[in-house]
Amino acid sequence: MDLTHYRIAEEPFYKPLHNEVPMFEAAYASRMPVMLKGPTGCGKTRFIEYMAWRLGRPLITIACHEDMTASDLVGRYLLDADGTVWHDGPLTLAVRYGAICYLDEVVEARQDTTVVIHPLTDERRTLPLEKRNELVAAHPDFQLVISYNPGYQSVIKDLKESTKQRFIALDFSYPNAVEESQIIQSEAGVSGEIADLLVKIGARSRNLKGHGLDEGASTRMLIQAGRLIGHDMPVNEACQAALVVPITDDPDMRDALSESINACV
Amino acid sequence: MSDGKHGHLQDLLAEANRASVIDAATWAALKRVFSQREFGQWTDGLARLLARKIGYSAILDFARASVQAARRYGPAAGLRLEASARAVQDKAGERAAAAMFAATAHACRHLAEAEDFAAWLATMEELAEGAPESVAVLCDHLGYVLQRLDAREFHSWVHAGIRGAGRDPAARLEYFDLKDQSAIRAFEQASSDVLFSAVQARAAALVGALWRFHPIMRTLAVTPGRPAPRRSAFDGAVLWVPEAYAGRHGSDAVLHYKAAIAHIGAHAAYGGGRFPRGKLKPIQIALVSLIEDARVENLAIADYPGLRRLWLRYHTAQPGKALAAELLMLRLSRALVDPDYLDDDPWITKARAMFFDSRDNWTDPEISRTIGGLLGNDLGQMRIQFNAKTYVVEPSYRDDNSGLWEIDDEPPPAESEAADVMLNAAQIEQKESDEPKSRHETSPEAPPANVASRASPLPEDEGFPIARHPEWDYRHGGLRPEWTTLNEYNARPAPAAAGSALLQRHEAALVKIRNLVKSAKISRPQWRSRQMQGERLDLDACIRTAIDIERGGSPDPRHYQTRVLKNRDLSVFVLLDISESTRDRIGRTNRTIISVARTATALLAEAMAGLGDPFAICGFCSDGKDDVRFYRVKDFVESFDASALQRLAGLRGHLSTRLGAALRQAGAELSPQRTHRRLVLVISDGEPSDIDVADSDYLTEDARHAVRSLAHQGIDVLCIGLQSEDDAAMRRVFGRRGFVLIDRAEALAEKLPFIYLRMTT
Ligand SMILES: Nc1ncnc2c1ncn2[C@@H]1O[C@H](COP(=O)(O)OP(=O)(O)O)[C@@H](O)[C@H]1O
Ligand SMILES: [Mg+2]
Repeated sequence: MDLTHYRIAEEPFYKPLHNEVPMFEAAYASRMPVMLKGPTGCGKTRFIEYMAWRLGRPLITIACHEDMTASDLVGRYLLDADGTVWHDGPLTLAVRYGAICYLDEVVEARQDTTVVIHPLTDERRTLPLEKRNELVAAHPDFQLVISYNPGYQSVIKDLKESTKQRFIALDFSYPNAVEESQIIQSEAGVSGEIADLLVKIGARSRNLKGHGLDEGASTRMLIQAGRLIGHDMPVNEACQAALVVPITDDPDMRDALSESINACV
Repeated sequence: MSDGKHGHLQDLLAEANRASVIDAATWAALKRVFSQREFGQWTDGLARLLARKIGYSAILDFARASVQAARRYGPAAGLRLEASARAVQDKAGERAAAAMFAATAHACRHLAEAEDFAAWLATMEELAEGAPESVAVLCDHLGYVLQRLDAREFHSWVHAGIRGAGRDPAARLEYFDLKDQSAIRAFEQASSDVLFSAVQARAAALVGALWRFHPIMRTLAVTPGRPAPRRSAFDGAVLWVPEAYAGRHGSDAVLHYKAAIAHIGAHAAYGGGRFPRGKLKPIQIALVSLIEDARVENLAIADYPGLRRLWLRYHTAQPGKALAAELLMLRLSRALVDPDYLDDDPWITKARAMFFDSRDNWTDPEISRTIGGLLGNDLGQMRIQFNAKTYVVEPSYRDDNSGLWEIDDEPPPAESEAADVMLNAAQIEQKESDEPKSRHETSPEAPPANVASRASPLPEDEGFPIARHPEWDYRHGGLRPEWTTLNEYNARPAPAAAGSALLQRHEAALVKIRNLVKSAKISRPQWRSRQMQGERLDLDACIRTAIDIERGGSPDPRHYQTRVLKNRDLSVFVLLDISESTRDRIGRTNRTIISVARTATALLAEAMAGLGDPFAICGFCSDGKDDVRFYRVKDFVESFDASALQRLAGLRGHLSTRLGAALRQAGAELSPQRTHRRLVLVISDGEPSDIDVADSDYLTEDARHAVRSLAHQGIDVLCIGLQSEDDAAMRRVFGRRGFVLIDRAEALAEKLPFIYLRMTT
């Protein structure tokens, strides 16, 4: 099976923030499963893309969601001219042919779906395909990486303690002001001045975390605002569209955010 | 004036023996304000009044009121008075008419135009018709009322009173005597249609976003007989804000509130400690405060340039002749924040130079003292008058600056109003404290002498046992069987008013909750597989069928997927800790933990009822292992109605917290619930304890054991913690994810429903 399609050809722009790069390499050396912990839009996906490129491994990304079934991960029978044929799911592909498999926002999936990853995370490194009566042993290059947003508090949706303990975890948070400004400049192609302003605006929204907002503006949102500004949208309006409205539906919070953006410009 | 007519008048007066009542000066004034013809008409009117045997002093008041009205609004207004007076007297009696004459002076002071005055008279006639008993009483307050309402607003306010009180004269009297809160609120709303409560959340979030400043906000309400609070004030963590800023309407009022809160935010972010008063004169205190305002605002503007726009809206001073210190200070305030403002007054020019030359030292509050002190001296030497008694900080968005100064035993006159206002607010707070009075009357520590007279059929102190539970002994690593006894006690309902009061003042939160509930209910639709009918083919099912057919089996005919709204399938048992410690006050507020918890539970119940989640509510406490008490507010089968609210309002804090036993009981009652998820929600202020247990770890470990065994039965446990000291123990009991600490307990009421929704969707 050819996974070229899943290879990352060009070096993605990633600005290391801490020791995450050598740490990940060390984990990969013994194929330890890795959990990337942090709020959305803080660079987890970009990081894993960068690491896959750096390690020269194909990367298979699966965005988890509530309606996802185990079949969506491991595969299913399909019909074709000769009858039924088995189709590997993305997880099985990664396991069989040695890719890094990235399960994004894994808590979003139901627990009965995510149980399939259990035997992949311990010494067994196997994936049972019950419907097919097959036990797939993992390719030596295979590695499992999941992302996890701890801010998402629900008693009902959480990883099992036993699952969590099998991963090493890398903590991601928003970059500091200087780094974040550089990332915005590079990603959105805006001036340092605009990038600094966006960082300042972002910090204002993050001050409201736990005071009406579940989460402040992400680096991704700031980049998107930057891109709108790059296309000649005024700062206020760009921020309105890229962060205020997406972040919250609460009119008071929206108003406070807009007003603090006004205060910044 | 014809002699005949004059003669007739003379006769009349002589006959009535009342001429002496109207003094010569008033006669003279009458002749000045009226033309001859008008004077004639007026005396005809006087004659009509005299014929009605109106009192002596009322006659003089009438004459003087006529003069005032004619002077202010023209002769026609002076002549109208008499007809209105007659109408009022017909309906409300002589005393009412007399009171109206006396009150005319207030009307003349506050109403600008002749037509306003005419409208006022017409309203008074309507009042005499609709609430005759109240005319005289209202006249006593007329100055206060008209200070706040224009003629049109006065009219609607009077009508609101008549309508609101209906046929009950006593209630009308309350209203027009300003004893009824709704009367005061009504005209506060009339004079400014934006109340602080409507803006509070967004203004608070604004300063939270800018400076992580999360103050406690209190409303300065209006109290009759006292000047309406005009300026905000702050005192460390507490911020006092007028309920309404008179004369501010709509979006302007909203921005004005934001300007005010942002200004205090600037004090908090860039200010220093309190200044000592030392030997400073009132004018110096005012000027140091003014410079300090400018200093913190300029620092804030350096960080957030947009704030300048917000504040400058309210700096409207213009250069001109300097008559009084107050006017110069108004202009100086503007000069220090508005770089485009031109003013060549030498004092202002000098002040501006001093202030901006020390730009590099702006971070040091001392410069405010230095510059303000010098400027105050200058004004003194210029012999410019400053009236500390009447001085009010300008522009109106700024606070009274009492928070800048060390607290003095004897505040100088400039501060007295603020001090007054603070005192006021504190009193109101106390009144509003929603502790039902009965709590003290019926608390078991001080049982009422006359037990037999109690309303409750079941005596307070007799519970009946409903279950026994084991308890975990961590030292031996084993369960002590049947160790605790759970007794159910009668939850004594509070009076109906106390029940409904739980939800009052939370209208805004209720609206939010209902909206949230609405959106949670129409939550994401889900595809349900293997349906007989549906919107799309179920591919997996089709393939299974194909395979079945190929293998010769009998295929399942359900090939479709259909979209269904995801149902919440959750039942909840709310366990409310009502131990003694919940009677503690929260921080520096007047509210107790239990009062906040009761309100929070009421709002939460509203949310749960809205979502259709089956739920039960129990208060719990304990008095040793053989008396773990359950006070049942609502069962799963009951609906959350007024009587449940009353029982909730009647819960009071006493005894100890044997948490484990309560959890086991809650679990036992929850387990027959046939929902997919079952949740015990604990609201508590601290770690478990009881009188018969000395080892503080013992009950903590037992509770932890209880949580785990519930988890084993598939029952989730979540605790909302209200006090931070016992954090560690509570986290040990509930686990990190099973415990949410509310940092400001007084915010619990508004937060709890949202936490609940977040944790359960
Ligand atoms: N350290 C970083 N280096 C480069 N780009 C970054 C970094 N952190 C965030 N970004 C930018 O933020 C965007 C969002 O990050 P992403 O990885 O998609 O977030 P997550 O996966 O955590 O939700 C990326 O597309 C990238 O542009
Ligand atoms: Mg001030």
